[in-house]
Amino acid sequence: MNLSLNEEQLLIKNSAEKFFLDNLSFEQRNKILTSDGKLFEDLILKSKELGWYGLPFDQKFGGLGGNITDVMTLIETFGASLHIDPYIFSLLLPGKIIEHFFDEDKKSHYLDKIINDNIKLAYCFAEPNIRFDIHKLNCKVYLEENKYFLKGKKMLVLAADQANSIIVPAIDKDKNVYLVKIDNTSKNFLSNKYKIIDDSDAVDYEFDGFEFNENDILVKLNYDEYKKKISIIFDYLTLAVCSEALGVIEKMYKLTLEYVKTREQFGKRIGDFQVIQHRMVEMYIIKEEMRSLNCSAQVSFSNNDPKERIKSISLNKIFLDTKAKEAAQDCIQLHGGMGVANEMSIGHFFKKLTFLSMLFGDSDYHYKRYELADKI
Amino acid sequence: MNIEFSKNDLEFQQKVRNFISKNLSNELRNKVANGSEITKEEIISWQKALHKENLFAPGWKKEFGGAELSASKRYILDQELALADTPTIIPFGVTMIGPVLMHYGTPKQQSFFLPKILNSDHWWCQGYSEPGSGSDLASLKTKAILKGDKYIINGTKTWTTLAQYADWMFCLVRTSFEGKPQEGISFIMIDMKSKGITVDPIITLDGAHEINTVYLEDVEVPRENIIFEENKGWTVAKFLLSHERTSIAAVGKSISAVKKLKQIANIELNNEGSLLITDKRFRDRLTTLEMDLKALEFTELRILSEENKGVAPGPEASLLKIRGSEIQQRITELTMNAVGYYGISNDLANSNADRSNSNQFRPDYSQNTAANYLNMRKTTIYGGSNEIQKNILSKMVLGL
Repeated sequence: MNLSLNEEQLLIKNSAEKFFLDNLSFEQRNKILTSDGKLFEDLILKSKELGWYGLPFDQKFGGLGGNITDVMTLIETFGASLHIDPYIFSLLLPGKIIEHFFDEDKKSHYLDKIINDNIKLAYCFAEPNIRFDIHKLNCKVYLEENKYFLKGKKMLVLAADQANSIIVPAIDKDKNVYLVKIDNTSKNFLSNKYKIIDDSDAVDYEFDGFEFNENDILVKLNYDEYKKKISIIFDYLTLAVCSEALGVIEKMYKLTLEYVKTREQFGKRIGDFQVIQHRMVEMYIIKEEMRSLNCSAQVSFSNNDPKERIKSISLNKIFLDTKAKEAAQDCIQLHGGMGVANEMSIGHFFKKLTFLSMLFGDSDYHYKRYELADKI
Repeated sequence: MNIEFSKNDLEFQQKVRNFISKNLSNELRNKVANGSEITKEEIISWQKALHKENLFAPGWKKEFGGAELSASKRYILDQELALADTPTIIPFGVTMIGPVLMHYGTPKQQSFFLPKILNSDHWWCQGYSEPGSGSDLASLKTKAILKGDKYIINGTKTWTTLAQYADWMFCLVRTSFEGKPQEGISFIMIDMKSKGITVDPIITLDGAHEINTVYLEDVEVPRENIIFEENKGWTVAKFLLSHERTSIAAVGKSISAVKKLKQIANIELNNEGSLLITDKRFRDRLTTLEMDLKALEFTELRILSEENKGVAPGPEASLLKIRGSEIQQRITELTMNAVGYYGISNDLANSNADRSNSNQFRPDYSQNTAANYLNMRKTTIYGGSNEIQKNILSKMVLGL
């Protein structure tokens, strides 16, 4: 048994931390976010030199063949530094879609493009009225006079703004699922770009009889098969979200500990008050529990037991949306007024955590999912 | 024991309802309902309309131009105003400095300031916290040195709500460094147009500009602007704080917010495609929230009913602040859950961008959900943080 990081993983962690120390201080981050995009591009290019884009994928397709711990270790550092590359959505999600759904030829072609070229894809995972259930599809494909059409809505497409194309999953009347590649610049559908609370962008789309070519169908498969594959992909993605959140909580804990050790009121450090000490200890326990749950989910992935995997991932997400969220709220509280001022970094970690705690299902969704998995 | 309203109370309730339907435009009602920013002009004209009907200062004595309403009428008024999505009254004038002036002010101070507060001609802000003095307010360092018949004031005040609009600031300053820290504090009123005042915005998590840092540099303030006596400001501040604790519970606002949350839960679907309101897990959480809110409402009513008998609210009022603020936060959190993915957009940033076709994608009720959640984090911090309120309860009520 070994649940600690190996040398390679420590190297990933340390080099990422060094990268962020040099390139993404809170001030640098603000500067990049308020500039025109050139600084952002530079940062991404620099980060790619470290091999981050290849890490999650097989060497056969130009990747570095990193295992789950390698990838989650890297993503945790993103959380701790509020990395502004939407890596999970611009690389990991489309990459995993390609890996699991595409045939061998397409796989080589597209993975190479997203790892090594500057081609970006965004996958539309959410729709209105299905809440968090990624298995449901209301977006329809239909044929009329041998032409293909799309009808339906997609929402919260993350990293769509920078993507060359979006991948839209949709279903036909015979329960076939199509993954359709759509040129993001097309004017033949409605779209609405907006900011979300972690300073990133998202786009909503509405296709109202949008015509596409047969060539744009990347994958066609039956619904049951789709469900099985999409479930594994999103478990992986949900773990990535929880790992990023773990980095966020670790950093919030550190910042808050530092704050209660330096902030003085009533002639002493506020950390000298027992009520504050106990709350900090509680926070410490929570972040340790969160890491332990993260380990358990990584193990469940490697063991290839779907039931255990589903349960373990849901436990991680429930923990994030309940205990970790409360700990984050406590971090703001202990910062007092400073906690609600946008100029302090603590609030930006809080917003990131708020976003991550809802993403791919809140605790309500995962409590039910756990129950169902436990019944099988 | 009953809370039945008298015939007279019910007539009053009708009067308030008529007033609201006549004076609140649909546009303003919608802005309040979806948490959009209300302009200074809108707030002032609403407050002036209330004053015209003698509904603006329900707790003020008649001799000062108030309505001197009974506790039950004040409760009715609060509820009706909150449930009808009317703009929140800015408390710094009418509920904070007003009662202080009535209690401690000189006749000259009263006759100058009170009518202008009533008519919303003066916008007030509160100069309490300082960068180094938050929970430990008594450690404040802003200095006021008497020179002839003027004080020369130097220091920094922070978290000052809506100081950018303010004509006047009531302020705690240090006039003596001797004795206990509380003993050297004075309560003074500062004209915001005075030379040497700089107001710097602080942007909060939701992206809004509501609070400020106020720099005071050699600001000259006439000696007559002091309230009560020099070095007795702490007494005044404590009087004010106990007033604030009762109004800060925001029961009416929370009842209104729960009503809105229920409407959302009657439209949104859960993960299985049923109405969210029928989702057992969600419903239980909503009911728990309503239980706590009902307890808060009746705790407030019990305190009001004592007040009706002439018993002023004591330190117990701290419990209203603690629970009231927590409930406000929990409502916004549950509303986040209710609207799902709609809830994580940064609507303040988006309202500044071109969003010509955005309504097609997002229901109105989801507007500003995240902004409200983020903004409400302040409630357990301001007005004496909840930790400080617990200290008050433990010391003053429990005797620990």
